[in-house]
Amino acid sequence: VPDLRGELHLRLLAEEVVATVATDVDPTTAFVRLRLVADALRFVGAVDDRVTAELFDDLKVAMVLRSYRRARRLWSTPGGFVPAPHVGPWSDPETAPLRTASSEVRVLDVEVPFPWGRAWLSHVTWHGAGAVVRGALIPDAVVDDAKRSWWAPAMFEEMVLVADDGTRYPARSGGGGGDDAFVWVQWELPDPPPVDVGPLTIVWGGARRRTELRRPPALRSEPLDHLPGVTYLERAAWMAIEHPNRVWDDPDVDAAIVSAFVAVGALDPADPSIHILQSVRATNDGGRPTAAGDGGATEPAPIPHDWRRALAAPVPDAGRPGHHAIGVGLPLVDGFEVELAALRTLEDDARLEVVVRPGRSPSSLGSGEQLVRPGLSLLVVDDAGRRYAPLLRRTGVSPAELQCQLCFGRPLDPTARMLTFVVTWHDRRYTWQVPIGGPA
Amino acid sequence: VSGSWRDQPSDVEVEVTCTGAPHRLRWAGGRLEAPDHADLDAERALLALGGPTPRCLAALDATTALADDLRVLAIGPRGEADDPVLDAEVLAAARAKCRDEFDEAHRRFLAFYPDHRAEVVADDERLPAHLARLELCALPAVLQRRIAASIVATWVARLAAGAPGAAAAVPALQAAVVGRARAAVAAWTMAGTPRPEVVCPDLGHGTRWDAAARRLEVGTRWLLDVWAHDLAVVDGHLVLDVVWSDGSATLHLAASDVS
Repeated sequence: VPDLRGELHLRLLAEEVVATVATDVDPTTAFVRLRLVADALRFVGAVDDRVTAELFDDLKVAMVLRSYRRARRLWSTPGGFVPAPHVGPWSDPETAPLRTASSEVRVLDVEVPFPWGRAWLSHVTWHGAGAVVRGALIPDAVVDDAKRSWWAPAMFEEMVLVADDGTRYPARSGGGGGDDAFVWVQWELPDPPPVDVGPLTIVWGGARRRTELRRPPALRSEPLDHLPGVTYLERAAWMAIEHPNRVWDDPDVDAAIVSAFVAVGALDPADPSIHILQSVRATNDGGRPTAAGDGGATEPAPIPHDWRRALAAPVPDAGRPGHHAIGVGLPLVDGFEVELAALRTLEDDARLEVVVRPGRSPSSLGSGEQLVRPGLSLLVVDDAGRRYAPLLRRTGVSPAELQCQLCFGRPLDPTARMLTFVVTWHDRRYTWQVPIGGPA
Repeated sequence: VSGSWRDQPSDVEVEVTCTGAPHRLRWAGGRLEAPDHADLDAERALLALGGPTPRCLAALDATTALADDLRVLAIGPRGEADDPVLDAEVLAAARAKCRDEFDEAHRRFLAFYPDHRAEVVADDERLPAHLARLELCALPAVLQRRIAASIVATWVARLAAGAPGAAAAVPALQAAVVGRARAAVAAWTMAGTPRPEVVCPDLGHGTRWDAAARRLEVGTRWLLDVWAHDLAVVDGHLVLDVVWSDGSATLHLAASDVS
C-alpha cells in the first residue's frame, strides 16, 4: 500500500485555497502555505512530483474558474486554463539516475573597451542546440532610458569568434537583464566552434581580443554525510539567518510545514531542528530564543555553536564591486541543466547568475524565492568559513533558457579570496572552488 | 427527487446551446443523455469528415472519457454556493491556447533533448483529458455535480471490490468529500462565525456532527446520499443524512446552534 499521507495533506490544503478563492477572504495566505508545504514535502520525498504537478494544474483551473483576477495574481505563470507542460525527467533518482549534462562551459573573462564603457565576456557554453557567449555591458556611468539608445546598437552588433585556422563563427545578440549599471547580455552561436577549438579571437565593436578558453574549476562529487543546512528545517534556519526579512518566513508557515512533516512521518515532533528554526526566528525578531511547544518557557533552544557564530557574525560594511566568471555546469539535476554563470559583487549584495535549460517557468524551480528542487540545495562558503545561502530573486525566460539571479542578501566579505560552491542533490554533494581575489 | 436512489445521483435535465439551438442534456440512471440528437452514430460518422463537434456530443464524450477521472473532483463545484461554470467562448479560446502552448514547450524541449521524444509524446497524451475536463466545466453546475458524484460512486465500488490500484484514489476522494462538506458548512453557518472543523477520518465514515466540539465528520456516504442530490443544505439547515421510505424522505439535520 503506497504511503499517501503527503498527498492527502496537500489535497486538504488545496481545498482550503479553493474554499477561499471565491469568497471575501484573501486566498493568498492559504495559497502560499500550500506552495511552501508542497515544496517541503517534495524535499523530503513525501509526495510524488507528478501528483504534485497535477494537483497544482487542477488547482489553477479551479482558481481561474472561480476568480480569474485572483488566480492571475497568485500564479506566476500566465495562461489561464493552460496546464504546465510536464516534459522532462521527473525526480526519481532510483529510476532516473543522475546523468551528465550535455553542456560544456569554458571561461573567457575578456573585457572589450568601448567609448561608453566596457563589455565583459564571461564564458561560452556549448549546449544541445548551439552555443552561447555570456557577459555584460558595463557603462562608465549609469544611463537612463533616454540615453540608452546611443549605446544600445553596440549590444546588438554582430560578434565574430575566429579560430586560429581562420574559421569564423558569427554570434548574434540575445536577451539581456540586470540593471542600467550592469546589463547582462548573451550572444548566440547557431553554428558554434567545436568544443576543442582552442584559442579564439573575439572580433566585436571594432575591437579584437585573443583569449584562451579555460576549463572551469573541477567539480568534486562525494557521498553526502551531513552538512548543516541540508535538512529542510535546517536549511530554512540558514535562510532565516541569511535573509531575515523574507515575507513568508513566519511562524505560521513554519508550523504548517512542521505539521505536514509530522503528518507524513518525516519528522519527530521533538526533533531539535524545530527548536533551532524557532530560535533563529526569535533572534531575528529581536526576541530571546525560546524552546518549542512550551509556551515560551525560558530554556534556550539548542542552537549549534557554529550557527550561533553565524548569527553573531557581523555583516561587512561594504563589499567590493566587481564581477567574476564562474562558468560551471552542474550534472543534470532533475531533468534540468543548471549552469552557474557568473558572480557580480556589489557594495551591499552579491548576485549569482544562473541559467537553467530547458527553459521552464519560474514556478518549476520552487516557491518563487528559493532555488529548491526536491533534494537540491546550494550554499556558498568563503575562505573564512562564512556561509551564504542565495535566494532566487529575478528571472527571465528566453525561448530556450530560464535565467535566474540568486542574491546573497548581504555583501560578500571583501577579504574573501576563494569561494566554495556546495550543491547537494539527494545523497550526493558537489563542490568546486572559484578564486575571486583577482582584479575585478 | 427521482431516479435510482442511493445507487446513482438523482436525475436532472438541463438546456444548453448546441449548434445554435437549445438542446437538452439529461442525467438519468447514472449516465448522460442527449435526447435531441436522434442518431449519434450518424453524427459521429459525419464528424469524421471534419467540422466542429456539437456541444452535446462533446459533453457525452467528455463524460465517458472521464468516468473515473479523480481530477474532475479537484476542479468542479463544491456545492450550490460554489458552482463555477466556464463560458463557452472562453472554452473555445482555451482549447486553442492549450494546443499552442504544448506545441511550443515540446518544440523547445526537443531542441535540447532530441532523444527524448517519448517523453513529449507521453506529455502530449495529457492534453485530451485536460480539454475534456474543461468541457465538463462548461456544463451547468447541477450536471457537473452529478458527474462528480458518479465518479466518486465508481471509485467507492472499486474500493469495495478491492480493485488493484484503487487505494491510490483514497486521498483524492477524502479531499473531495471534505471540500464539499466544507462548502455546505460555509453555506449553513452565518458569515463571521468561526467555521466548524470538517474531517473525513475514512471514506466509510458515517456522518457525525459534534455541536460541542463544532466538528463534522463525513465520508463518501454523505456525498453520495446527500450532496449528490443537492440536499446538502435545505432551508438553511445542514443535512447529515437522508432516509427514504415509501417515496418520502426524512432529512436528518445538524443541530442548528451555529446557524
